[in-house]
Amino acid sequence: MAEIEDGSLAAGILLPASLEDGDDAGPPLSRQRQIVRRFCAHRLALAGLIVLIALILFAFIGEPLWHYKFNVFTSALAQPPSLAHPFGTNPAGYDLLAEVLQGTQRSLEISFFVAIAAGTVGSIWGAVAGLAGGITDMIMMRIADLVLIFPVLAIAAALANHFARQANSWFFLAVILAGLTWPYVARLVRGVVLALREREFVTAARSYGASGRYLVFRHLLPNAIGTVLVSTTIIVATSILAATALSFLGFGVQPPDVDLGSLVSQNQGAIFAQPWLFYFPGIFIVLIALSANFIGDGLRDAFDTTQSGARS
Amino acid sequence: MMRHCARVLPITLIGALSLILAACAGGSGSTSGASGGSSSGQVTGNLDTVNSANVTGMGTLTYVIERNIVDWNPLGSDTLVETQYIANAFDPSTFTTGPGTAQVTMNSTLLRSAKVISTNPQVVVYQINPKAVWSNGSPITAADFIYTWKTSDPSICPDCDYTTSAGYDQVTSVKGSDNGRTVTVTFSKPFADWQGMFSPILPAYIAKQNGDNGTTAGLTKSFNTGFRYTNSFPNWSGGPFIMTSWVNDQAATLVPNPKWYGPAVHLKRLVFQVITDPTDEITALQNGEVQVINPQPQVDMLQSIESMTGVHYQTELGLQLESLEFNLNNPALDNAALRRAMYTAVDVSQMVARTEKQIDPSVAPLHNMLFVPGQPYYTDNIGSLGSGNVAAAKKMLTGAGYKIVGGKLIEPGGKPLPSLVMRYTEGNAVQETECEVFQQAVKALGVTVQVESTNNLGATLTHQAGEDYDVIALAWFATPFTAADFYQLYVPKGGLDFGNYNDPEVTKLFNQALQTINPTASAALLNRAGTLMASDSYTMPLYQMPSLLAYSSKYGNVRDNPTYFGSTYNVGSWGLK
Amino acid sequence: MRRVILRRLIYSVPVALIASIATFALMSFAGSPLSQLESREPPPSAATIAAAKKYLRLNQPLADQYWHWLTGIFTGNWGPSVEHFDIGEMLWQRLLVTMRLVIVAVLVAMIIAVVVGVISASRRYSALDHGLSFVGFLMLSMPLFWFAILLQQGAIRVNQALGSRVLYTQGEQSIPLPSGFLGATGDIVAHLLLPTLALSLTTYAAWSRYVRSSTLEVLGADYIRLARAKGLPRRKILVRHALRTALIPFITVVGLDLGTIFSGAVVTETVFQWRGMGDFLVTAIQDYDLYAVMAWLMAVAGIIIAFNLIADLLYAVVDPRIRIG
Repeated sequence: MAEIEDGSLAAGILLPASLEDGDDAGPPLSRQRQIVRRFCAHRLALAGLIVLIALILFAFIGEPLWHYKFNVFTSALAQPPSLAHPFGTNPAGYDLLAEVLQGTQRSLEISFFVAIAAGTVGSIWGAVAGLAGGITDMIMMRIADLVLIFPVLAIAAALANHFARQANSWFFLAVILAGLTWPYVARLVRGVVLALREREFVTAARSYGASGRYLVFRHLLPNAIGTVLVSTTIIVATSILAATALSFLGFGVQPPDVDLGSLVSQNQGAIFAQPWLFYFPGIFIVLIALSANFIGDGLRDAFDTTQSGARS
Repeated sequence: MMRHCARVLPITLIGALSLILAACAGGSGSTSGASGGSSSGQVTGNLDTVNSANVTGMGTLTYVIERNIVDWNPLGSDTLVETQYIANAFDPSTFTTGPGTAQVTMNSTLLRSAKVISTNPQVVVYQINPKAVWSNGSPITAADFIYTWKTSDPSICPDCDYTTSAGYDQVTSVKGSDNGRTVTVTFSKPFADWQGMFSPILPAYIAKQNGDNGTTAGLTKSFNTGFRYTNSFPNWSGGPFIMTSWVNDQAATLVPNPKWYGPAVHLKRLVFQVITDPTDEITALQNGEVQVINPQPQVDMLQSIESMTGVHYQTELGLQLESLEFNLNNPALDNAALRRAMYTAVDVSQMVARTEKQIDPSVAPLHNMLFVPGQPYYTDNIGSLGSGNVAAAKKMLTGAGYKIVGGKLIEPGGKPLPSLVMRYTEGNAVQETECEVFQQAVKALGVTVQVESTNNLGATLTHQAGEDYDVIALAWFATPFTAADFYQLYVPKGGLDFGNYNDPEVTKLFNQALQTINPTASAALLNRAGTLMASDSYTMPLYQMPSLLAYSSKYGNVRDNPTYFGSTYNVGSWGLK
Repeated sequence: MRRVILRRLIYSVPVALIASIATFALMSFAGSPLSQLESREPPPSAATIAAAKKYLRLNQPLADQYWHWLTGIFTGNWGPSVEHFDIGEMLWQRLLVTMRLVIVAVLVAMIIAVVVGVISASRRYSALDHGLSFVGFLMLSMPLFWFAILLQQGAIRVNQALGSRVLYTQGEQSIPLPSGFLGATGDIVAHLLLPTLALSLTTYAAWSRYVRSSTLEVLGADYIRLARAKGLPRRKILVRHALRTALIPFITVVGLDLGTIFSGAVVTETVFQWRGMGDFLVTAIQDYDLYAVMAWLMAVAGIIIAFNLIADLLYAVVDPRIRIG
């Protein structure tokens, strides 16, 4: 029951995955190499990693290099994809490839910020709560529950409507989303910590007077790292879907800035006449989320066996 | 260890790529764009008679409105055009405008005649059709005109929340005679645009039910609250239809008015449905879920409408105008030469090409401050504004003491010009492009413009902190009553002078024009004012926004009316062909 | 049983209450409900603004406003709205519309998840398993709004191919509703089809992975091995024994995801122009309508708490192990 309480986001993660079979020929490898091997054996995860890295390069290196910019007019109006404009142009004359480059940059910035922020805050919160136990644990987890009680989109929209209206709205949007996502990670990490807490190495460490902080950072977190990494990666996927949904509704990234969600929103009418304007941004959202999900799945497989055979 | 990884083929990548290619191919297949076929495509012709047909039977029709109705009072201050579109079905007006831009037509079902019988003082006499009655059977009389006048006259009802008091504030008396069927309106000063008044009129008997007891408080209550119908809807009628239900933010349903005194109607049910998203309007029309849409045209809409079968459409240039306006409250913008230079540097034909020209190829930049092509008094009086002539603009600046140093504009006093904030209404892609063209044009002059949207146009226009503007892209629905119309915008007491424009000579000319009954003389005065305004460069007209009306080809007499009255101006004559 | 209910209530009601305080405070700082009124052109009189301030209770200190609101709920008064409508009544009507979508979509998603999960588990590592898993990941990564618009387009093509309007892309019913029970139901179902597809297809994926893992775990259990050894047919083992144990916790998992489903319903209703809770919320947020937003949040939280309560009860009913405690 404890595992299930940690949220179904975790349900797919925490429960043991199917084990890949048949690669134990040869001498026992170190734990890290084992993890990497397992990850590479997961083909989709590897593909996902390649795609995600490609997307990051595409967005952050491609955008400055591409000779059109997302906010500078070209003389081609509403052109379908061609050699000069690989993604076509929109009626106002903006090059769609430039817009998608900029939008991908934005969306990646937002989702990585949310993932790292929520992952960090959530991990520390969960670890502290799990270690402390008792009243502290209860209060800390009730606070986490508090944040989760209302649907994320509603709270995020209401806050973003007011606070994320100015320039650099993407940053405030990312902060808001991170503030609503960390409890998922906290719950997960707390669960792992609770399980690990009773292990021998913790008792041993305590017996020679190790402080709480030492335990958390030196022993527990490294063992929980698998869970943390997996949930952080999954959050990249969920946060890009959440952020683009908010932008689609008009509460997220504000013009003149663009992200993939606002591109879909402003181009949804074009689906009849200039479908490339609608499809490309959406496909990129799917690519980012899909590769993050595959990587997360691969990480889950890679880290899973080491959880049951714990060594500090 | 890496050997295992090297063997991995990124099948997913190839799969993803083929997905993209398939999607592209599949998507573009939808734009067959066949403009042949007699039951599809664009309809052109005489605006007044296009799609005239003998209609028969009793059909049903759903008309899409793009915004929810918050105020049912067609004369209320926060009323949107959508209220008037629906009011055309049940609330009679003395005159309607359109479809031609200069067209003003007397409602010959309501009135036998409407004439100016003397000019000094100005006296107008309306003869109401003796058969005209409200839906409770009581006749339409002067009492209704009197109520309409009193609630729009600030000297009688100062707290009444009316849209405009133009004309009503110059009425000295409204008298009924001949059992109330003759209405005599006397003015203190001549008012040229009298045909714009009493359109529509409000029923006095309903006003009484809503609190009108002869006192000012009663007038206020019945007008502001009663006719607003916050929690119900107007269930009376003096027109061809009567409303039987209204679900907030969803739909209004109307049926034929049993007491209708005009030609028989041919729709047994008329529904006005609220669809706020333009893309959904198109989908609904395509799917046959609605029959008439009149959306704010967006560029990608046209091709989708063209490819639908069984759908006709019209694009017309009417009286909806786009313009730019400065906020003269900003001291940096105090210099007319600076403003003129900025407007000169903008190439309006570029704006047009990137937006509305793709909907209606006949859209062209406007060259007159107040009139549009098609109106008889249209003449080119804006000079080089909007020409995109950056060299000339730079000369204007240097001539006025400005300098461009290192790509930044320096004021005559030596300080650099602060960056300007330019706003457009959120969600309006056309205005967004207008702002971006302006921004990139004045960059050549060393002016930095920051483009931002506003989701609260009212707050922006009233200069609320955080929403204020230095330049704004404004959409304006004009009427054929040019003097009365633009008076509101360009005269300090006009009520809509947002940017604090005050040119005493222009004000004088407007006041004169308002009192000049002869239209040619009035227009000459207005054009003189226009030339002065061009030199002041407070505002720059951009172009006429085309209107777009798309409707199922099965229905007759449905035609576009790009004025305030909208295409429902003749809804009583609609029906199946 | 009573203890289960009591425990759930004691746990969640105070949390909801404290959450409401925090949200009320947060929303009050996130924009003024007066902005719509103050920005009208021409500006309304000072008297109108003062009256509006009084009506919206903005003259009271924040704590008083909160208390006033909270106590008002028990008498059915959800507070003043910027648009001057009755929040309680409007919310109730919108709720009926949205619950249609949410309930059907959840059921459909659950069924798909169970079918897909069980098939994947019983044919582990087969091509079918891998295929279903890939599709699942794809749907997990699909932006709901983009997918919904694609479905609308697909529906138009289907209607054109079939030559008649089978699928509707707008709204939750035709105006007016066809008469007769069959006609009305058919119309509502036809309008429900696409939104349900959109919402359930983007929701089932995470659940199906859970069902798959859970089923696998159960299939590996000793008593299943015993059943196999006894020679029981495979299908019977699956359905009679494995499924029950694997699925019991599934409902709890669904309950935890309800918040996400309501978020999805908001987006779905926006795309399909439904006049439900989603449209209500979006308008309320745009209007800075504090009380409307709070009412929405409390209503949704209430539904989620109620659902989780029912899930717990079901759990207790079905699993004898936890019934006594």
